[in-house]
Amino acid sequence: MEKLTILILFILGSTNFVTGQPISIENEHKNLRLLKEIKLSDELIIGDITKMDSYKNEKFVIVDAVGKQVYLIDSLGQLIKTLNPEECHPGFHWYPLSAFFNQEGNIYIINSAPWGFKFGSNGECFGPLDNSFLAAISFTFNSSNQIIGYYNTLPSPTLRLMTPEGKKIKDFGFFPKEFLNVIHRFECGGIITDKKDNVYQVNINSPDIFKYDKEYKLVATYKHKPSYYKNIETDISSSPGEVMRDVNRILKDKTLTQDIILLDKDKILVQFAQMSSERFYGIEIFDLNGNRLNKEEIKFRLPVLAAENGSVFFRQQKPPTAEGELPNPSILEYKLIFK
Amino acid sequence: MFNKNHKFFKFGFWALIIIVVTLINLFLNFEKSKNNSVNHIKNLDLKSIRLQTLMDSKIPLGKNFPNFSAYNIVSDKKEFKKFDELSLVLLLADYGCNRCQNRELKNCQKLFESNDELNVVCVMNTIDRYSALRLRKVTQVKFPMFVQDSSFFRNFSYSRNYPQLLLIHHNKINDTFLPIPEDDDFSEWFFEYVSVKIKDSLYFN
Repeated sequence: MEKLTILILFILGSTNFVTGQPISIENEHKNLRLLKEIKLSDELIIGDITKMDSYKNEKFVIVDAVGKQVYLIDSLGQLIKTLNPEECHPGFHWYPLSAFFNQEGNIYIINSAPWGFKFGSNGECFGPLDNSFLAAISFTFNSSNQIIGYYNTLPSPTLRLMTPEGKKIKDFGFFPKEFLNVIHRFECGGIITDKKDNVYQVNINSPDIFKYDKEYKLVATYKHKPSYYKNIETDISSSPGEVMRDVNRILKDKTLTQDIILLDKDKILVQFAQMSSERFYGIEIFDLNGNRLNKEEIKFRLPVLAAENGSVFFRQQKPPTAEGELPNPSILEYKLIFK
Repeated sequence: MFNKNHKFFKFGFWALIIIVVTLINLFLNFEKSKNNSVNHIKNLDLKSIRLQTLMDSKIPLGKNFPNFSAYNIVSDKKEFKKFDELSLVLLLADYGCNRCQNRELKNCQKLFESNDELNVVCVMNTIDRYSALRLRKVTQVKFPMFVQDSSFFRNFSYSRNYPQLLLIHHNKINDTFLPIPEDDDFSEWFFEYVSVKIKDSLYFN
């Protein structure tokens, strides 16, 4: 992964907007009802919960990109397995970036060269994905367990339908030509599928949702712009030396569409990152026909990491001890209240 | 007649076997030499990269490395650090080679544990203390780690690549090293070199 992309990832993905301060939801928000805190065992050395996914609220896969580990845990936070590709593929270059459950609970890991690895639903080592598979920033699966990946590559970002092993079947998807560098540099935007294999896509530069049918034809564009949403107006430079200079200037006070998550079987959650001095994450809830469901705008200090069955999951990092020891982060499960 | 045919086929059978085995051997040798030449090219690339790194590492030699103030990630307070004694300084950045940074932190920790005379310090190019705390946690290092913003690094960082290692004595940069991603051996050699230099007491003049 390019160094600049890592830095930009950090800027957006870090939960620590305020220097040195732990970011935590200390009080229940009017849109949230705390269901439980999932504490991770102190026996594990977890640098951070960089990415996570949930499977039927029964299992969670946690990626710690700092410690280069992936953990499969149950709903109580007990470790089921530390995923290890060397069990079936000794010498595999393990640099996990993100993880996704498919419909059957099998786990797909996006890795940094080689790009993909597959584990079973209990962490059984299956093996690398096809040699032709490339890392996607977002993943979803259809009812046939085919993979659909969101690729922010230059010069042509694309959505890609692949076999369960990661072989390309076809490309599709709408991407704006005016913001290709922004799309490329940020790991924002994403895709989900519903139970009828419709695909829903968002891109970083606008709040619009693009809907594709099961033949991957664009059938609808849902437009809803929150009041705080300020579109990016110009693209950043393609030159690595100028990107850092551009990022602050172009993104100042703007809103980025961070991702799209299936909140439950008939509701979509779209998450935005607001880059103003009052930084927050805004979310909007829609039904599958693009009708907005939340009466009021919803804003959080922390990003939603995952969602399922009406629950949203946040990561909480408590402050270090006086000796500088950082406790393991925990996962907070909340019921999302939006009506 | 039968005997002649039988001899002919028997001879033909063995000739066929020999030809097939020969062809298989030729094919395997061809593949092996192709692999060897690919490895040869890879080795040449690695040597070039190492050579370039070593050349780049010469740039700051002899330059002054100032005493400085930076935020200690444990105490979260600004501390003043002096570099008149022998010191190994590891410079990190959020956008640096992630795997390299973990590796060099662990290498520095080994040196820190085995050398009382060596002052080991890490400074990370970030205002986010938690980034450094996370690295400290997963690598289990015990030497002091600091964070400072990027303007601080312009004083003595000599490359856009991170991590960077600087061996300082009497506030002068005596040695430097730019680790290479995926090249663990190269890093090991640098740390062996530093260990030998400390043991030889070349610095204790």
